[in-house]
Amino acid sequence: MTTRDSLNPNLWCICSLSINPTILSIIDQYVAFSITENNKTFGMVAVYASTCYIRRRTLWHDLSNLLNQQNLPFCLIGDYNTILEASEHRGRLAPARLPMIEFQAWSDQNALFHLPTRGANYTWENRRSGRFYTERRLDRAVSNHAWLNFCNTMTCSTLVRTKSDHYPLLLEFQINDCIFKSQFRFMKMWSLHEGCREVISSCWNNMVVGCPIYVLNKKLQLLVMFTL
Amino acid sequence: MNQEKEAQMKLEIELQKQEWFWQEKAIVKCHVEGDRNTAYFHRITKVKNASKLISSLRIDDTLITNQDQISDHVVQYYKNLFCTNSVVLQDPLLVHEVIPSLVDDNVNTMLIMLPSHSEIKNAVFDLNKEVAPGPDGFGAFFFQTYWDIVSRDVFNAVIKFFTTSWLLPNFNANTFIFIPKTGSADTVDQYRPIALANFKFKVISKVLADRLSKIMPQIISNEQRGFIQGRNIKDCICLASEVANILHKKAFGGNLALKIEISKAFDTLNWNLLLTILICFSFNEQFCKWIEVILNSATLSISINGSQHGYFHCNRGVRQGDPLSPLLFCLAEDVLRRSISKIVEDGKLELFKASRSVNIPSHSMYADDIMVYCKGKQSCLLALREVFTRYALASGQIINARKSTIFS
Repeated sequence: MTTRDSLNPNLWCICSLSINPTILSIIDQYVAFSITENNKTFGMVAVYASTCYIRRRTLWHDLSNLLNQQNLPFCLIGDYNTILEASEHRGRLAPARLPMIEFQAWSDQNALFHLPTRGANYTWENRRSGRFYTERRLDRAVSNHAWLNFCNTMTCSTLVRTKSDHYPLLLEFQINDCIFKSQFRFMKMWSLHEGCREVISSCWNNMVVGCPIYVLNKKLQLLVMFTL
Repeated sequence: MNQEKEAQMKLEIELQKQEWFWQEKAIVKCHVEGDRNTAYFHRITKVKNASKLISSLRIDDTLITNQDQISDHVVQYYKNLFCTNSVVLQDPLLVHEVIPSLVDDNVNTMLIMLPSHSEIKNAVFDLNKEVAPGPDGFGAFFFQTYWDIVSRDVFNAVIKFFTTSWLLPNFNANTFIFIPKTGSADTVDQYRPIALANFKFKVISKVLADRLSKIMPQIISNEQRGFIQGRNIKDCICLASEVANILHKKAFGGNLALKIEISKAFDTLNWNLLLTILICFSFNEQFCKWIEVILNSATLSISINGSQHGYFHCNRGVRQGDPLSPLLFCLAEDVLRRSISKIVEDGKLELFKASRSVNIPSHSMYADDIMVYCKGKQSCLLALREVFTRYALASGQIINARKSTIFS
């Protein structure tokens, strides 16, 4: 799938035959598609934002619309050509503020999460030497709230850079329903419940005979049994 | 009016519950109590849950991504680390040569007294409330909040240990969790293992640690600045920076500063060495016995991505997370420290000469980080190497050459 007819470079999405994605929209700055797997549908967006911040405004606008219309778990990954804050930039000149503010506003407005990336801190460099050298974290994966509920394992990491001035990003995620049965743990909030103290003291008033270490152990066990 | 007030109060309590719930899940230390931060805690939990899992590990040059393989690998690694042990002490003379008997009868009687009620209570309330609980799920918060109910049984249990020096098997069960040392940790050794011990056991260990820490300043020599009351890491930093200023001063052989780092120092400590040291310091038999029981009682299981794997006894090492561990480690490390001082006294290791009135100490230490300052003569370095080799034989502590550096 590709767009940007006359524009170079093109934006390509390549997938294996078995996946069978449905394309939601194709515009010159992004490709959005949805995939159904095991009766679960989720959306992915490959982003290649324009380098001009005025043109990026249409991207933010379109993406907001897309996220509002499609009520799906979404993950947006790609080159945003802008950064979130000054810490994602290293170089001689301070980064321009307006593009950052707009980017922040867009991600706040849609309540998006910026997934932490493993590997290289800055994903792009301008390849100039000396004092003009600049590095930025332009590439990232962003997801909405539903996405976090949807998959339980995900990692986003940078791969080895060969020819490009960007690091490739690799997003891995697993969709499975297995939920860990978490261990017993005395939660702090239970202490605010008015019945809690009685439960504990009733467990404690049980007669347990034996070595005192065993008694303590046993009473704690009784308490656990009570909560299950 | 009254009804409204009541309703408000109820809402307040429920909201508080909700906040505490999410706060406990999010484990954010630096939050400010004030506004209710449920939305914030909720989000942090979500992102953490999704991205904190160990999804891949690197072994040499291969990458494993299968969950079972990962857990097997980690369990095997830690079994090797904690369970391999040369049973005999390989260089027993070293300890007897350098450790003086410093603990007198007064101190010993203080150490082996039965703990009083207030001593145990202090131990319980000194431990941090927010710390994650051990395998049994009851953390400090439970014991501190319901102290009026549980105190009698806790007290009896602790006294039982002190009178019989015996622990219920399983009482000292630990769960290991892994904290990545760097943001992009990808091999096992880049995760720091922290043992979550049962709180009921920690009380015992804390009582002993409190007593021991009172006498530590008299036993452990001045150069060790970690974990001891009244000593500060800043002294090490000041000293190192002062020494760096005079490194260039002309001297025969030149001046050297060696930063020596021991790999997995806490996890590989030899128990026999530790017990021999305690005896040489002439700690009371009873006290040594307690320490031995505590060391032997530890069982470990490893928590990877939320599920438990493996269950084994360990044969060496002190666990990070036990209040007693840092003190025991300092005691063991004192052998090394005293051997360095000894070769200085014997004239085998020559020190810097700064100016007439200033003496530069031969070394400074903060826990397992050691900085040695000496002249760069061949004889000095050979003597120093011998010390470290003997210590390595005795304690199982091997120098990590990759992280150690020499400044000149």
